Amino acid sequence: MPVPSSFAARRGHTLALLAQARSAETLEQVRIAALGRKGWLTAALRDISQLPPPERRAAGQKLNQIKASIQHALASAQRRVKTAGETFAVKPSAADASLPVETSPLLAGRIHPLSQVLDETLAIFASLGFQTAAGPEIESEDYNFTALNIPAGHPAREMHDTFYLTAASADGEPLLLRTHTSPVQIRAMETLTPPVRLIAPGRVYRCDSDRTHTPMFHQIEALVIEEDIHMGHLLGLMKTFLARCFGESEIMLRVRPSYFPFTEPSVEIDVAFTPDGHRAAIEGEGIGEDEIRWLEIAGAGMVHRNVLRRMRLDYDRHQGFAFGLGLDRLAALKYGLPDLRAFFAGDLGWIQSAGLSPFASPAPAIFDAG
Amino acid sequence: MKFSLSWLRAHWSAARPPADIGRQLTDLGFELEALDDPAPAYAALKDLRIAEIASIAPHPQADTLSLAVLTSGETIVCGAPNLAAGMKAVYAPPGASLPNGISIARRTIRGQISQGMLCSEKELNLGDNDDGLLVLPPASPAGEPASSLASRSDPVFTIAVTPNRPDCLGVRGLARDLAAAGFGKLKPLTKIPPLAKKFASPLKIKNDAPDLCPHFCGLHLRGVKNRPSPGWLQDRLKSAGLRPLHALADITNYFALDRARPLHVYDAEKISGAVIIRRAEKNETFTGLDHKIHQPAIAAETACVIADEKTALGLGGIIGGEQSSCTLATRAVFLESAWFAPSPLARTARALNIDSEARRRFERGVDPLSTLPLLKEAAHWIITLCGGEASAVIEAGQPAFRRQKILFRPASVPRLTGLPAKPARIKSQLTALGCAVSQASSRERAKAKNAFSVTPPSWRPDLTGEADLVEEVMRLEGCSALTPLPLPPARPLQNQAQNRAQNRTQNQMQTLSQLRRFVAGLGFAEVINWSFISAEEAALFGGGHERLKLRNPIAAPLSDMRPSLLPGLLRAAGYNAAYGRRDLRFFEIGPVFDEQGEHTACAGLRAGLPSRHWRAREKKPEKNPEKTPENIHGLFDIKSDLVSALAFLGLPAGRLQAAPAQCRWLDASASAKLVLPQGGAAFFGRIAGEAAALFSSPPAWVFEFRYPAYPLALKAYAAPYADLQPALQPALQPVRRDLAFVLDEAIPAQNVIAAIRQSGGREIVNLTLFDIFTAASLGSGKKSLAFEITLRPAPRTDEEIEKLMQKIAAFVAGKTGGRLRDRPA
Repeated sequence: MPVPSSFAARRGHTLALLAQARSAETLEQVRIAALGRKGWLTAALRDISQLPPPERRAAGQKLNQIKASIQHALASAQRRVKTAGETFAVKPSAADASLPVETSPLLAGRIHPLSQVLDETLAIFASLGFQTAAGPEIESEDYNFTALNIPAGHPAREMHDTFYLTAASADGEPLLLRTHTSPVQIRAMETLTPPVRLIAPGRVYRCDSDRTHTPMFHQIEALVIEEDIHMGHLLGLMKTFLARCFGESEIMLRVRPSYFPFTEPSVEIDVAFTPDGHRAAIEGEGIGEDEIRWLEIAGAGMVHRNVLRRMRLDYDRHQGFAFGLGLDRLAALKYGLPDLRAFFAGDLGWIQSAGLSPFASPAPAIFDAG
Repeated sequence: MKFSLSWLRAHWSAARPPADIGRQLTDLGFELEALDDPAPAYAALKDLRIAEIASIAPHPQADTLSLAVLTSGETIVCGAPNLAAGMKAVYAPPGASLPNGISIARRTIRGQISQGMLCSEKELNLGDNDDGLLVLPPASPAGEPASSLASRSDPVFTIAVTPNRPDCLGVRGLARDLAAAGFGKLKPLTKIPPLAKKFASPLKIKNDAPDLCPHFCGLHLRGVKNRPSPGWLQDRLKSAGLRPLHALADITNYFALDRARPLHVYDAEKISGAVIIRRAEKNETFTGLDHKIHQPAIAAETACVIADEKTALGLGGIIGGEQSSCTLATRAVFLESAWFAPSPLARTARALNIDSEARRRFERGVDPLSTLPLLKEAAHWIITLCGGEASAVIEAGQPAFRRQKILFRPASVPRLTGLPAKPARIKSQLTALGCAVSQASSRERAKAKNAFSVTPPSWRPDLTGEADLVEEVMRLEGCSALTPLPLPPARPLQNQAQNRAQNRTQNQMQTLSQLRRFVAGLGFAEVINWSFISAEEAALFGGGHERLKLRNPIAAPLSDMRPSLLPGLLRAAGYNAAYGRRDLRFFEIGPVFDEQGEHTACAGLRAGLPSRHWRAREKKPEKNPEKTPENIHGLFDIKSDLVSALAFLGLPAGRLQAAPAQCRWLDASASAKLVLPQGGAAFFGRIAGEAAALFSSPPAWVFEFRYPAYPLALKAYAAPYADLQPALQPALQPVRRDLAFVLDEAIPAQNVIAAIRQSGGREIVNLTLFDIFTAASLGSGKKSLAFEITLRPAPRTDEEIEKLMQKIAAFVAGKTGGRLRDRPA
């Protein structure tokens, strides 16, 4: 390549050489030719002092610009040459990126489906203005039965298949494992005055065991005592709740009269499901009547006058409804889990498949119940 | 409760298909549990015929087989034990196929030609019975297709009757409810002619327990010839799930099932002297009709014994005795119709654990006014079916019943249900249920418009207040008539104290939910275990108090309220290890019980074999002696889980002091407890061999702590930085210095850490133990602990930092005897 004579041309020539260079030695030669002690640019800079003073400033600026651009190009070329060498030095076969790794053991963590349904249920009721209450699992006969209009010898005590403790309370009353969350109503109303909207979740116990009954299960108790509240509101609340819980506005449900000593009128609420998937059925899905099975998920009704009296309220002035919702059955119908005994068996395979990620939202999916 | 459609039709008429009747019963509050309708199965038997067996001959080559000749001429080889000449059965001719797909052909069986086969219930897909042929009613038309039986089949309903409705433990009561809902018509009862009282009862009655049995009626029947019941009665009892015995027993059972009126029949010749109603005598026993020996004195206060002058005959209203029971040989009977007080009877039956149709009705409340009329009606039936003549009725006491009036305000219907108030319709509904409806007094009407007065019938002990009548209206209208309404907007609780109490519960539940998700995020799977465990497990884990035992556990290993969550986790570990699962991490958050009361606890477990994955081998944990090859999880893994959970709850996790755990279920050499600032402790360590063996669990590492009764506000993640905030000066780089101390091996690291923190004060923002080292060069029984100390960012000179390090070193030396090993620059 012929060596150009003007500074601009020399600059271009040097940059071209730097771009072509493939080794550190070549680069060093180019650097010495331009910037070395005897390099053309070094010489030119030295010669500035020979120029007449008015021209020195412009010439200095121009030459320094040329120097900066060459230095920049040199540094860039040096990095290129250096890393090119490195790339060739690594054998491509050394790291087999296709080797399998395990997922983080943290991913094995699961929330029990019951915990998820509990969280969602609490969130739904909180959004409807319900407060939360709690009560003990070891109860007295008074709170569990008598206060709820189930006197001794009443056949409803039979219905409950109660677990009794060997010991009695300090005042000699028999102690038992609560058979429902309803005693929390009585306890809460010892300090509250209407209007009241509260829920109380918890474990309850009955001596019973099969696919749809376990000796321990979970309920959510709800109590609403407000002016002009009646069965229509109870039904509306239940529909809203189920719609938000299942994320479907048309859950097929059945309300039928029933009997509880602590409510009058009383109803039970069933949700339809199909035996194959064991999931809650939706209206208009074209499920034949023969295929439908019903599962009771709640007992409900208007608070009985005797229970109101125990709450120091008057039947003619106060009214309200209460219900006990079976959380286990709700979870069973939501997640398609037919055997309630599996909920408490501690089988890791079951927990891994039926359980939920701890990162699942503790509130139900946003859904407009209409 | 079970009954057939034809039985219901004896009381009720409407041309409705069985499915509609079932739905209506559910709508009335009697949930249909099953509807067994054989009609579709019969209808499928088009190829099969109804046959009459003309004669039977033994099979010449086989003892167990017979040759049945049909009236239509065919010969069939048959092995059914109930084969009899003259019976009607279902016949499958050659060329026909059975519901299970089997084709019938002419076959030779042991040398004899069989022209088809006779079928069992199971072969016809009509039931499970495969013991013999299905016996058809004698009136079945021989030669007709078997599918014609569809129109004669009788569906059976199984319904649940709530305990407030004793009247509906009789088919008549259900018929009345159906008709009251406008669904079909109730048929009037057949009029019974008055009994001819030919003689006085030779047996006298003596009532020594009128409080338990306020009303007792009986009569004597002589010249009776007991016999099997007629077919229709047997069929009805069978549809109810009862085994027909003989007419005397069957009639009394039928009155219980049909009219909800239990009766009892005694063989009068087996009663000595008189019928005595009395309390239980000490140590007396009798054998019941259930063939069990009963001791009425177990319920001494409430048991009502029916006895003669020698012995106890039975328990009134609960169960009769074997000794005085009727047989086909019975010639004279004493028929009892009594009314027993429900509450003592329920207590007695429960104490003695006896279940019977009579008990179920009496404890719920039998119609007190039915005692005398239905005694007479039953006597009429006995005379009709078995002959004989009845004595005059003998009676002790009188019906325990007072009519009561309920003031009913129609406006209460909308008030409680939202349904419209239609006084005329309501009146007719209540009347159809048997209530007497009359005008309320003018004073009452002045207070409530349209109010009327309702007197419930004697068979409805559940109707005692206005709301009960509102429920009747709702039931008869049907729940589908209710209109769902949204709740009005919520109003806050009236006072702040109430609000605070509710918020505390709400916060606690929310915190537990977050803790649950956090622990699951550490890789643990949540389990929910029974709150009860075995006595042995409870005792090992510090429980087993007498006060916390169940009197009636569902199974022996579930007898004690759990003092700890760990037994449940260990059981799960043992269970899953048996299934070959390797890496086990479980946790539970739930209730535990001790003599102080109930607490919420949180516990976790790690157990299992190392993964066989190549990377797990690559980083073999040789340097950590506590990690044995059988167990990848070590003491410090479980401690880290525990401390993370505590830190998540806002506790100063890094500064909690460790102390010996001193509990039987933890291995003393690899366990400790952390003392919690608000009381109590968090335990962690390796499960002791004894405890692991009890659950067949692999070696396991566990932690457990009880959630504080009044929790700290959740300050997750905020706590570690809280100290740092005021001094944070981002422009300055943090200063780090390493200090290594040589000290006696027996001195716990936490003592050194405490000394460093105490002497460094707020200057120290982080302290990391980065090396533990033992070597001969340090001297025997010595160890070296090396710490990296991070100082609060602040303008400081090297001399100031050096001075601080010297101060710390001196303080540590004073507290622990540790001397500085070397000082990296």
